[in-house]
Amino acid sequence: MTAYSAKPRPDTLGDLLERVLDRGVVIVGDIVVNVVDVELLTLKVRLLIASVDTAKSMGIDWWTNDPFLNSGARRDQLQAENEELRARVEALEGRLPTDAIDTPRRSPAAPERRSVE
Amino acid sequence: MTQQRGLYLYAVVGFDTSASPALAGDILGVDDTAVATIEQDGLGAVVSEVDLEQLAAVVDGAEPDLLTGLAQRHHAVVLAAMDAVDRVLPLRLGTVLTGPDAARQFLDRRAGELSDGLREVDACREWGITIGQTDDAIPTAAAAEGGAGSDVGVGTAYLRRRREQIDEAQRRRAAQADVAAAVADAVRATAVRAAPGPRSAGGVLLDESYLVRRGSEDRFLTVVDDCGSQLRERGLRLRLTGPWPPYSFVPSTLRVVT
Repeated sequence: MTAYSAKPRPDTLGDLLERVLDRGVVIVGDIVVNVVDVELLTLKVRLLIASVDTAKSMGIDWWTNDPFLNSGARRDQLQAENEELRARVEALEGRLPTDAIDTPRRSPAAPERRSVE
Repeated sequence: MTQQRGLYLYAVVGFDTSASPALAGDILGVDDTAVATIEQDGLGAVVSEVDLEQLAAVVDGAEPDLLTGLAQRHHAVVLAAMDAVDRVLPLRLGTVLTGPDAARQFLDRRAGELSDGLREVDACREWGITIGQTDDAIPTAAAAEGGAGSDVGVGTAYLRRRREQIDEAQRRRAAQADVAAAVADAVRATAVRAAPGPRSAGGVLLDESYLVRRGSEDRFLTVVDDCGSQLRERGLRLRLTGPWPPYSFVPSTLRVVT
């Protein structure tokens, strides 16, 4: 059986996003217009890939028709990836000035108040 | 006042002939503008004009379909370039230059690296392979032996059975890792180069990208087929994607300062 070579099935949107993400020649210098924050773009695309619900809402039918995306194995992978990404979001946010962050950040727990009467 | 328009850069292409071959007819760029090729000494920059504010909104905004639209357009133009010429280096998603002069400067200043990079991917396409568990994992021997009655388990017997199950699962994982490594070796032998895939960091037994010469694709796919059959017997699944432009096999960072 030639399950793989006979006719490779069209690549899914998730595959495409993963493939174009943080790959390709990077140009650095003043000829480049930094209109796109590459790291932010990367992060956004990764979160997008990780979110099956978001993907479904995009209404791209060859995405929703792909059985691969409905498998449980995929979901487990996505969950693991989601967790990894949350950690990376936190790390990135930590590098921004605090006033640039509109999402609540985890702050160290306030010292427990003890009444010593 | 800030600059309103820039030049989105999709790919750098190499020509043998003096004239650049036309990209497939009606292909439109990220802003629905025409895609053009800026030439410089046998190298070409595949570009289209882009509205900077609009592009920034794609990335900053919350609309996921704008972002996927950008990725799809980027990819479509790179594919069109792949159809037109044998040597294509895809650029990073979201690369915008100040204008045509900047594109010419880039081709001129980095001609050496670009030509080397183009030679390496000449007449090659990228394929991706991931190996992971199938959804219906093969039941372990220990689990199969444990009858319904004994499952309720009394103390030691239960713990011993549990231990056996864990050992069995560990043995199986080790065997699967060996098989995945053997597959990677077999596939690499038919490829020009291999690179880590997008998911290589976790969750899968193997995720690799392969740069395969177009003339070797039949051999590559035959090997992949054979490996896929072996893997299925062991409760593993091989997934192939491609052919892709050589996204994973390009020079990484090129600096150009005027």
